[in-house]
Amino acid sequence: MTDRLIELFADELMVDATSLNDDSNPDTVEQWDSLAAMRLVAAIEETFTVNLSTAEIMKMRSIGIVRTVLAGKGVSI
Amino acid sequence: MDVVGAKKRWRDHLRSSAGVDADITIGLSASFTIDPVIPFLGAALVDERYASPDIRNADYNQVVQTCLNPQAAFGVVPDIIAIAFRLEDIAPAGDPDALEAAAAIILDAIDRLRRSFDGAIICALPPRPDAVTFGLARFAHPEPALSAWHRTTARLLERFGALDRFYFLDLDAIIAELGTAARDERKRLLYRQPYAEAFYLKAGFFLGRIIRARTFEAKKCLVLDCDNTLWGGVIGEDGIGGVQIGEDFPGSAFREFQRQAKALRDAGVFLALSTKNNPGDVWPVFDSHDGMILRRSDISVAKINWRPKSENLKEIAAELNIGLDALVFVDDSPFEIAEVETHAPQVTCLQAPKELSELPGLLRAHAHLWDRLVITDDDRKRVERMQGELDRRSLAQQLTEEDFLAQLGLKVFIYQPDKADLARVTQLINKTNQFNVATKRYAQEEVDAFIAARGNRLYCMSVSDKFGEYGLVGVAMIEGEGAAWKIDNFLMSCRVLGRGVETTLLAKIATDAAAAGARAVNAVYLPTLKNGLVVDLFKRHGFSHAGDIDTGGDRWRLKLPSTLNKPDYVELVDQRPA
Repeated sequence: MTDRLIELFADELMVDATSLNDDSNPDTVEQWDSLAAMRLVAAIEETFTVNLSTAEIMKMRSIGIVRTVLAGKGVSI
Repeated sequence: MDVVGAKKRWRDHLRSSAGVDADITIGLSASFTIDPVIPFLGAALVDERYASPDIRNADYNQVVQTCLNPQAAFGVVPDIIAIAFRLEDIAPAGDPDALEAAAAIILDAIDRLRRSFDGAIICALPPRPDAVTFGLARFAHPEPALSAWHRTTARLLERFGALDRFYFLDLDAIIAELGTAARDERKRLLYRQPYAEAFYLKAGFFLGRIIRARTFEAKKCLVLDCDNTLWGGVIGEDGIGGVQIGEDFPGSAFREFQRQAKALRDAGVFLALSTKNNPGDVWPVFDSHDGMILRRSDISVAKINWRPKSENLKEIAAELNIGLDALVFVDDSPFEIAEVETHAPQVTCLQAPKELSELPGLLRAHAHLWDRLVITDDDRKRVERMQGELDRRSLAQQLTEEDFLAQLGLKVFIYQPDKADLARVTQLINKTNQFNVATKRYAQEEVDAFIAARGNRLYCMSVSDKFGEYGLVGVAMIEGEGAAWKIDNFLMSCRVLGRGVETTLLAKIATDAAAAGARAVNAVYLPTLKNGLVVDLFKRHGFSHAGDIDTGGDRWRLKLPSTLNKPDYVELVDQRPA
């Protein structure tokens, strides 16, 4: 399954979208290091026009959690 | 250039250019997180017709090391090295003497780089440091750090300002222009990335323009059509009284366009004509029309005829003894533009816009075509060649990397942990991903149990230098019984990379093991997704390969006694820092 959020992660991490799912996290994706995390925050904020708090950024340890955080801000993907 | 569009262009470019040889390699090294500039610099370079730029990044806060050994920092010697440092990153706030001392070391290192490196250097002027005081004090009693900043900027400008192959990027000007939008406090605290995307966008864009200006020669000649480009109407039909050029619209649009062409001429750009008219009609306008800005004497070469314009352009280039790619051609006719693009594709073509109000903006919109860095390579080449020879001769006497590290006054403290250290030890064990040979994670009670077991030792390492303390940054867990000691876990914070402190810890372990009567130190390297940094750690320290591990990884063995010693420039202290 691919959707906008998976595609955003695939773009920023430069990996194939089919290799990602909501369980993907920094331990399962080689490219997801601390610098990638920084790029992801910027991309998520730009793409979905949201502002993330530091607490939310620190919580985002999997794609599924990002989806939940975004849903909490009224962004459904 | 916008944030999302630039990132997308760079990403698309990376996908489509995988495996293509780079046509320019750029190395970035900064005291703060600089990675976010890469897509913006990349997009700027791709927009400037670089086919395949390769942008590399040195490790975080390793500016001096980069200057002393760029090949080690980037893996290759780049064509261009860009350096950025902030005073608050290189020394503790509030200590202006330490600040200036730290800045002096960086300036010396930049000087060393300049002498040993053949490519171009772009050095960012450091941004004004954040004020530590606030309220009225901040405005009425500026801190000593501010003087240190002014002096450092002045020294950079004095020392490197007049050099060939050396350019500045004024980050403070970018920050001032963006105001509060330049900063992002969340990213500063989370990632040591003090600035917002908007800042990196601008920095990347200007870096790209500097690089373009030094690589591509500025255009040298502007070739102009006449009817409906320099004036409104057709001179052959409307006559000298009928063409539109002057103070009132539509003539004013043409007049402004001429004024800009004249400004280019005054800045050293040749002007030429390629126009399908009778010479007898055209010259009287230049000679006697009141509305004209350009005069016959401003035109270096005129091709007034009915031949294909591409042929005229080739002749103009030949007569001026410049390349065809140094020409910019402006015409209102899409047909003429297409003819030139087909038969003289090296020429840069600009179509005069149909909407007249856009004509005055045409040359301004393409101002980068004439971009010239204030000091060109040609200007200084002769001086530089002579200076270069002198510099090479004295290079042997210059600062080496060891000298630099010696100047730092590194102290490494190696000791067994107290109760109070265990929380930090456990945190390092569980958080360190890169400099971690075995990546064994232990909960605090497991660490307690490890230490309590017979023969086991846990080494803590703290580091300081003359600029300040790094705290507890390294842990080694050792099973120290019998004829061979075993390194169970060995890890270090990346904050102290590049200083030889890991060598100090390994040497301490080897020395202790030998003193206890052991004949070898055994270790394993277990690869993870993140720890490629230490794949050859043991090899570099004289361990020999003692076999592969079936599940991945290698066994290593150091025979004792060994020659493994701490670096001379490190002072080893066998106790916790006071």
